[in-house]
Amino acid sequence: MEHVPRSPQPRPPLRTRRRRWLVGIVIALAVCIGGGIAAASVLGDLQEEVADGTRLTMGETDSTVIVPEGWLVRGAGHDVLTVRTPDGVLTARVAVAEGDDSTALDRVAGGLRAEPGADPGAPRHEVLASGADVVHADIGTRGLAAVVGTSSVVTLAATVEEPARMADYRRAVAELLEGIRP
Amino acid sequence: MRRIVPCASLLASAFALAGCVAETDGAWRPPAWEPTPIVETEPSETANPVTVDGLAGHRIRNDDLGLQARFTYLPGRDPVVDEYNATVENAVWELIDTRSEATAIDYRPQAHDVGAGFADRGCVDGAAGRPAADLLGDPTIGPVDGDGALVVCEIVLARGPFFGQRIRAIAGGPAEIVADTQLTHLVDTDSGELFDANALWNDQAAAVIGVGIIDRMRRDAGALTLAAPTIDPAAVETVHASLSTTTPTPDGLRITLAGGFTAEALVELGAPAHAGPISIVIPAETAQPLLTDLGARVVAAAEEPYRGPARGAAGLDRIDCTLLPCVALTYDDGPGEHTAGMLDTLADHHAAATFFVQGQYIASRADVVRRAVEEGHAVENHSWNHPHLPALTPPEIVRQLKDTNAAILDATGVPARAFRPPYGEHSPAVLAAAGMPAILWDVDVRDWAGLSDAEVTRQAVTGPEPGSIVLQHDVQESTARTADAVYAGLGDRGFSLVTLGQLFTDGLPSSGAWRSAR
Repeated sequence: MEHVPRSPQPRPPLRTRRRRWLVGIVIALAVCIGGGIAAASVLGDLQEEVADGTRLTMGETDSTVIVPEGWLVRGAGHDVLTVRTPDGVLTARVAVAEGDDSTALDRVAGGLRAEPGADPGAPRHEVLASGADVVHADIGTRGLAAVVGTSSVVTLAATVEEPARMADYRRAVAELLEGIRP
Repeated sequence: MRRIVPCASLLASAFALAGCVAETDGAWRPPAWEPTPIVETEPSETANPVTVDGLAGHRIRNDDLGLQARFTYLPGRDPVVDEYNATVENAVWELIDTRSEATAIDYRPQAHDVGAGFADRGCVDGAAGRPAADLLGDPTIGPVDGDGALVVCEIVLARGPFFGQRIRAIAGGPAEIVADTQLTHLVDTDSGELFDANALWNDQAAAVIGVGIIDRMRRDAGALTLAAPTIDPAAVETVHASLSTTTPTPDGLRITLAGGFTAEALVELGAPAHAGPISIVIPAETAQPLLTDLGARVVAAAEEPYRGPARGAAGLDRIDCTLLPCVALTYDDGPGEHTAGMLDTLADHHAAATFFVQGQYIASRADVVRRAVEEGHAVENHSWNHPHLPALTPPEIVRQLKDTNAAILDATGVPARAFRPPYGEHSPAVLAAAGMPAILWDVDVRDWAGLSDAEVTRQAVTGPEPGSIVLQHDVQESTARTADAVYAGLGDRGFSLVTLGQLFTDGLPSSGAWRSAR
């Protein structure tokens, strides 16, 4: 049997190999950059910042909020903010909302379950030092729902982590509410 | 190449996520509400337990009218003391008049059964803060069966020259409280100025204090606003009325708001009216700009010892025997060997009595007779040597009484104003010759008849009614031995032991023969 030597695969020329490497690197960079841009867009919302006490606009609305200096803020510039006290014990979700204050309070309170079986307490109506109306209700001993404003409203749903009680953080919540302009 | 891309992605994610959650500060503490300058205290807590020696505490209960009253006089008599005591007494008379109209029964002082417990008399610590129903149902404070009306006092101030007691008047029964009012009666015993506690505060005080109270109540009710609290005129009026309850305490000034306090700001918040009384203390530094000059002087005296009228003799105190159940103990035939000891016993009980002395014994015991007068007792005429006066001629009667009057005046400096005929024997001729009223008795303990001590005590304690005149003899050993038990027993029945001059509220009669003051 005649051994016919296999003809060797012809190697691409050196210039061609370099071109492939370059293409690969370009693709990799493109993927990284594209992914980075996409991740930055998503992660930007998750980024928690330390509030400097300046007024923040909530998304594309006219509503604004001053998060007390030193608090931790996530979602600055969006129409939903999540803020935490510097000790991380109280977390409050501040959101621009539709509807009147009482329906908004029902909605916020209904979605807030700081403790199993904790029903919302009686709503309390007050006028803040800012001049804005507020209606709020306790949810058990660790939750609090509030709605600032009457026609355009901003809701606040706050909870504290065990073993803390909301009673210890009411003054802090009051400061946050006073900074809201619905 | 296949390894590079995932690695780069992982690194990018790790960097991104590492910066996602900020570090928390475990040392941070949430802010607290600004403290209100008002401190809530327990309503039942005695704000300023004051013990003042020598006050003349009283307690009456009238079961026909359905009332009980406990109050305290300043001791002694002078224009300031008299005016203050009259103010306190008026509060009691107002209650009596109201009950008298309601029941169509005229008021007459009542004494009570043996063992009634009326030795416990005068003001009650903490009475101002106790629930009205609790006081009505307390047999030592309220009317019989807890239905009717009461007056109870609490000493709230005895500092420097200032003295004050809070008078609380309650009407109602187990089913309903009809009225519940309080007023603090104060006096500057130096200047003689009488005032109620409202006079301690200036015009701004009610609103400022009210705002503080509302601020506390709204925080308790869950308020979140940082707006300054507001107060409506009705709430100001309620607080203003409560200023009359002001009690100076070592920490400041305490006031008590009646139960049911609310304000428009609290109603809007959905806060319920306060169920019971609210007792609050306004610290001295907070109160300072809200005080009148008088109020500032009262607060400044907080650390000073009381220097008001000191306790004097019982016979020199204010006594109104149309209000209080009084009895006059009279002792004949002395002065004798037991008289001084009986004066000691009378002093121990802050009691007064009347001694009908024989002129023949005065010179030998002039010091005892003088002491009796100095300690507020009355010393009257029992003839020179105890004859049967109707058997004497008019000149002899006159001499018996005139010589004795002279001896009394000589020993005491005070003239006798009445006489007791020996054996109670008198006639128109005796009365005409005497020129003084003859004072007899309606209760004869018969201590001269060899009775046991127990029987002497029983007769002396159970025999009297309000207005009675009791006959005993300070020369009888059994009378001296039983004096302590007799005074205690009469006090326990609610009696005030008085001189004859006090028993006859319009003064001793000028003539005639009298068995009692009824």
